[in-house]
Amino acid sequence: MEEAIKKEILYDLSQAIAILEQRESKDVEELRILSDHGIEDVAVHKNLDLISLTVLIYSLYKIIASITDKDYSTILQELRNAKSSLEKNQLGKYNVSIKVLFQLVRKGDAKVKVHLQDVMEAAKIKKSAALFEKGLSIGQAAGLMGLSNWDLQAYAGKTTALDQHEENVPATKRVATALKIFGVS
Amino acid sequence: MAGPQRVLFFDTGPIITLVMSRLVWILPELKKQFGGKFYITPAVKRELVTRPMDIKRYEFEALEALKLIKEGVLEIYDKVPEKEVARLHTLANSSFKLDNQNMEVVQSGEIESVVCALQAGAEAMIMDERTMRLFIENNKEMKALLERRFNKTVSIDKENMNHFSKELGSIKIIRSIELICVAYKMGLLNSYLPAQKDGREVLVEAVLWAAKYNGAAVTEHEVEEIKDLMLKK
Repeated sequence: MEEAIKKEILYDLSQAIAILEQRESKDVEELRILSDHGIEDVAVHKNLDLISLTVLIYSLYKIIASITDKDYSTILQELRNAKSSLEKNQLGKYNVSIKVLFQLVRKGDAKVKVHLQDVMEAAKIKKSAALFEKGLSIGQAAGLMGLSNWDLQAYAGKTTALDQHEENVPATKRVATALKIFGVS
Repeated sequence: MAGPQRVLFFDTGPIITLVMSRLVWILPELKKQFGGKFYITPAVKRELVTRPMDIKRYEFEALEALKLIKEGVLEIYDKVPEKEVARLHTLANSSFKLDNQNMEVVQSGEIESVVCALQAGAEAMIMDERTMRLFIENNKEMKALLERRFNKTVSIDKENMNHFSKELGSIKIIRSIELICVAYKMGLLNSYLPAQKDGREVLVEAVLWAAKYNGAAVTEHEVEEIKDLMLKK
């Protein structure tokens, strides 16, 4: 991750943590303002990690007033975990925390899920397609981003991802095998 | 006396391709022609039906897949040898290391399908998943592939890698695109033939590209190759 991006993400995480340290009615408005700040960063950097975090903060703004105290504490703790992992350059752990936070958002409000689905899913699909192109299986690449195989397969079919691969068994041989199995000539 | 039941196992990918290409209706016809059972594992059912039922965009597609199960076209194979799947999952995902870390290249669900297919004596596995196919069919290429993709040196545990490939290597694999070829050769797609001189060519090209655009694991070069093969008299 680029230093500039990391700096922005750490800033946003620190602000979100500061806002949520104590549960107050002004949290909602402060999260909205923070998410607006995040959008400016996204416009400058066009970075997917930043997009994810910005979308996450926006979704927290949407659900925070209606969640239980227990979920509120879990969200705060997971934000702290994300910040700590990123500070130590533990990107795998950071991604896990972000994934958990999105799961908590989904749990919070089904309506938010519908509104944010397009933006959130687009970012995740792009990332999982990159993993797929690197040689991970569709299931593995989709699963890491919390997506279903349907999402990634629909996307991958419309890109060149499936062409970046040399088949080892000639197509003619596989067709012959299939026709034989089905008893078709 | 009747011989053993003929069996084919399906991975998730080919069914997704057929559903999204509006070709899933060929499966009951293919099953009749095959004269045996079409199985999926519980992990495949989860990915095919349970999961997309929660995703508005794919909810109806999930119902289409569920219909195949309800009508008995696809049956759930419930004798999954869990320990064997776990052992092979560990073996596969400890075969390659990047920056001294094991690379998890395949999911246990993908392994589950192949292990069940072998256990049930299936004649073939219907699978589009390229990583798994490469691992089974030509594991030497896996290292080169990963190195090209990650632009880093990948170290291999040759023993684990070969052990995995050897254990699963006897299964025949065919892809969704080959199922479509069978359907074409059976004449199942004839009702789509346009009334024009090169109607067959148009139909074959259209159906192969529809499958490719909906995630069938087939390269552009292969589409051309298969098209020529299908049109050959």
